[in-house]
Amino acid sequence: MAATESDWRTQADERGDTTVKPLWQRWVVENPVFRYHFLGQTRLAVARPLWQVLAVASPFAVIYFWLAYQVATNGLPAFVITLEVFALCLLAPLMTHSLFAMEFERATWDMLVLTRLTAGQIVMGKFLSRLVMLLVFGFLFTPLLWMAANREFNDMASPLMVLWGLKVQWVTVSWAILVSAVTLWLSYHVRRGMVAAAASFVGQVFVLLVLPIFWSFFLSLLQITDTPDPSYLRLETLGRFTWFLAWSWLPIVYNPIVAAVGLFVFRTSPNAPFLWGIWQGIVYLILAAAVLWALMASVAKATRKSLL
Amino acid sequence: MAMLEVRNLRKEFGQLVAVKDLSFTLQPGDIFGYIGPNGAGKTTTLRMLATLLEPTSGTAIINGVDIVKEPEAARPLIGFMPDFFGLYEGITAYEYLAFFAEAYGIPPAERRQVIENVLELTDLTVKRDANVETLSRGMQQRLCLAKTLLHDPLLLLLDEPASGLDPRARAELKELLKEIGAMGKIVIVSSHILPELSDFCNKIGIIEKGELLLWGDVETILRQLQPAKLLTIRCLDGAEKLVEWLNRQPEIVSTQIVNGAVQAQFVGDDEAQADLLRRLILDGHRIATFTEMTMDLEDVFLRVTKGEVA
Repeated sequence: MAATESDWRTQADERGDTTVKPLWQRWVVENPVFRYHFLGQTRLAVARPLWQVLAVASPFAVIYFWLAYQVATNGLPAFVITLEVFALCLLAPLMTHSLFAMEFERATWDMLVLTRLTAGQIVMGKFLSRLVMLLVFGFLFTPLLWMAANREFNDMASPLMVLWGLKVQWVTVSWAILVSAVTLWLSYHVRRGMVAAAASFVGQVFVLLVLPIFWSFFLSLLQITDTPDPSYLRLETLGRFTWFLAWSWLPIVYNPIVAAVGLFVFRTSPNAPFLWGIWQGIVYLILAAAVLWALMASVAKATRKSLL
Repeated sequence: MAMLEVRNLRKEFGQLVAVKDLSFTLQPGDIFGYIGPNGAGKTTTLRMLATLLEPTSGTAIINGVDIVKEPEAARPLIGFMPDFFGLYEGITAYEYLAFFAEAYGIPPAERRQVIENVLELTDLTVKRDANVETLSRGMQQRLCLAKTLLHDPLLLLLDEPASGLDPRARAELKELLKEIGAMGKIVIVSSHILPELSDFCNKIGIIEKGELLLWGDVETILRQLQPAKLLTIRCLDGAEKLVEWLNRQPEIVSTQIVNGAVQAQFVGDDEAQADLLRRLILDGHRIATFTEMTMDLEDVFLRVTKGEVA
């Protein structure tokens, strides 16, 4: 049986801790797992000879500045949005696929289990280390996005455009967070990094591409695609949008590409549903939290550790 | 009260009974050699004692803490070194120990000193800034042992600690384990390589097919299994004449000639043994060698086990 918060308090008392520390302190500040995966592995990447670091970093820097030049001169906001979504869809599994699998593959898991760390510290230490990296990566796209929008519409500083940019970032990054959480879950349960990454990529292809196609096909079979017009490009009012959702919620809810492009299409429409984008990000984050909670519960049960 | 009491510990994997109702007790300072062929259930036993595997039934009490009911309370009392262990990549030996020191909840103010102490104990001080991946297998083994000692556990569980080590590294490990035993900890060392245990274990347990065939003090077990001493005597006047003389002595149970020497089963203490040698010489036998053959762990193991696996 997984231990509860009260057990954790008892354990803390035995350790001599007089106060129960807040979660952020346990999961981040005083968590060696977070520190190893965030600082240790990052340091491992940059503590190489300078020429190696430059050799790896240069192509990325060139591509980034080339992109910046292109969007500054040609606009292409839809291209930037699509690129960001695809980059995050690709990056999220790559960053998280081995976090648990490496413990099993390198036979360090047993030693970690025997420490005083709770299931929450282990899971969140690993997850949060990658969340920071995802946020940094998402942040790198912000200037590109706003430069493209400014070139295209010449109103980068208007509140509407700022809101649009924020919503695009919110949807794409929260999707990446969901993908990271699911990949982490896979990494623990399948115990093989490559299998976890492959399953995550295949899952995304299914959810983002195959499922919407099947759903459209299903709607066609039911002959319900004519009323109302399913094309989100023609949705003009909140009422029609809600009606549309009733029939085609699956691709919308699960598909950040549809959401992000939809945000671009509706960027200036006064009748565009305001919450489109925001609530989808919330759904993604709720799902991510549920996946992480399930993972913590699995770890706590398997290792007979405290949950949080 | 015993510091470790194992009570009817049992583990089943489906139809397979990996460990059958194991019971034994150990006291502080005991070094327990846990012997058995591959697949006998040694690792399963150690993993249950380490709280990594939940027993099907039975339990173990470590210093009053039940490992089944209170695994989290038991873990600080246990140090476990698995037979196959890994190291985190890209960190130094010191950082590796610092990671686990924090994970074990050692207060920040004490961490540095604790790490220095275990580095010194395991002779790794000179390697404190070396990348863990560049260390030799023997040094990695010692580093893992240092990590296991960080939180000062009462019970050390070492699963095949010398496997893969060269003879020098094995000798160093033996010395280290003797030192740890002298610190008053209970050490359980599993192995199927008997010579590596014989020097420093004061208690042994032999497991086969998941069943503990015998356990106890090494000397007591040897006495039980070898009630008569085995003397090997080589005489320059010929073995037949010596056999004839020995068979007339009341302390001699049986004799046989092996490679020109006489092996005699002798019942008696050291005084009687010395008296026998004196009489041999006084009766004019020219004795070249007179040796007491002691039974070692390998003999015990071969006599007790049948070579079966679970």
